Amino acid sequence: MIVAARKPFEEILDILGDAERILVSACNTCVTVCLVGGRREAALLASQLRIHAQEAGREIEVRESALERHCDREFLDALTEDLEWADVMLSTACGVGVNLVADVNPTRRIVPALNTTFFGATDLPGRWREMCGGCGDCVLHKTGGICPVVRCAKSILNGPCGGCQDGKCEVDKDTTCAWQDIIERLDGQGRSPELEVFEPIKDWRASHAGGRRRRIVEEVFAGDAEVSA
Amino acid sequence: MLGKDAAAFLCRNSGALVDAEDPGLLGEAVRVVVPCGGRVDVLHLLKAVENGARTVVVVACHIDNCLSLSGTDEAELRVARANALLVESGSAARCAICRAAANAPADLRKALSEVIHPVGARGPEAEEVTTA
Repeated sequence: MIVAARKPFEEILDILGDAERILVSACNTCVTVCLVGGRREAALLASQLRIHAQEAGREIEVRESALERHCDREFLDALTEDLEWADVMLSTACGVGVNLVADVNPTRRIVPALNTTFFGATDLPGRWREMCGGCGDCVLHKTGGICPVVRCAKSILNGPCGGCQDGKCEVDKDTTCAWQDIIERLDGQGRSPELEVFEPIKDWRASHAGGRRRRIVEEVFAGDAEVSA
Repeated sequence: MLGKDAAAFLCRNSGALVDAEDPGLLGEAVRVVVPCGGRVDVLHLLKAVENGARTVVVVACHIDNCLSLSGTDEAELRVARANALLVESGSAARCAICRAAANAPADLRKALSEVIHPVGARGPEAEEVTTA
């Protein structure tokens, strides 16, 4: 899922500026799981904004809404009325949601309350860790299901590097070296010889380095691929 | 003694029983009896402040005496987060947790006196709380 963290409250206030009618809109999907999106967190943020206004002697109106997903157009119609009312929509969706709502409503001010951080998984209750870099050219079948792109600080594809000390990464001594994990995983599966196979230089054009990516499923896509790029 | 501008969330297994024994302890505070201190969410605490409460107290069981085992620990974490959010919002840390047991109202009196004190900068009637 997409993992995000809430922006500092001061930054949110700065982003909102003098707006008096604020719509706090939550996404109920990925960022709800990592406890920054969803109806409850939006309600907390809205409450904070009201309390701040009370303390500052300002009069503002804050509405709250929650959509199943901000990243699917079919859900966005429900925002129309509130968007017409609001000076600004403060989104607790990930960056994808902010982009799409802003694209669909180009005359409206849509701003993020979150910093979208990574694709990750719940590691322990209350802790999420990055698992995938969305590089567009997956190598997990070669690495025992451990992503060297994000779990290795250097994204090395033929590791480990010289900075691995006692199985720990030199960048963070509390983090196990991803290549240590990969070697142990493949060893455990009786696949050690595969570690001798050299992985060629990665073509990063499949990642964001190649520009904005898109994916089309021909049997479903009804538009003009060039126009909607 | 809490005034009308205070809210108290009372665990029905401890706080509510003490309150029934000695209603004077919580004074004129608005009472909300909850199944467990751990059921009080951060949002409940913020909403209480948003709606005018100057002091919000969660009265829950003593540690290791919680019928729900971890409810009182969870309440403490939520009180801490609520205070962090309030301070971030430019308000004061207005939420506190007090431990209570039905057979020891004096403990609650002491706990309340330890966590609630006036906030000079906000006027004589305002109160701020500190958490242990």
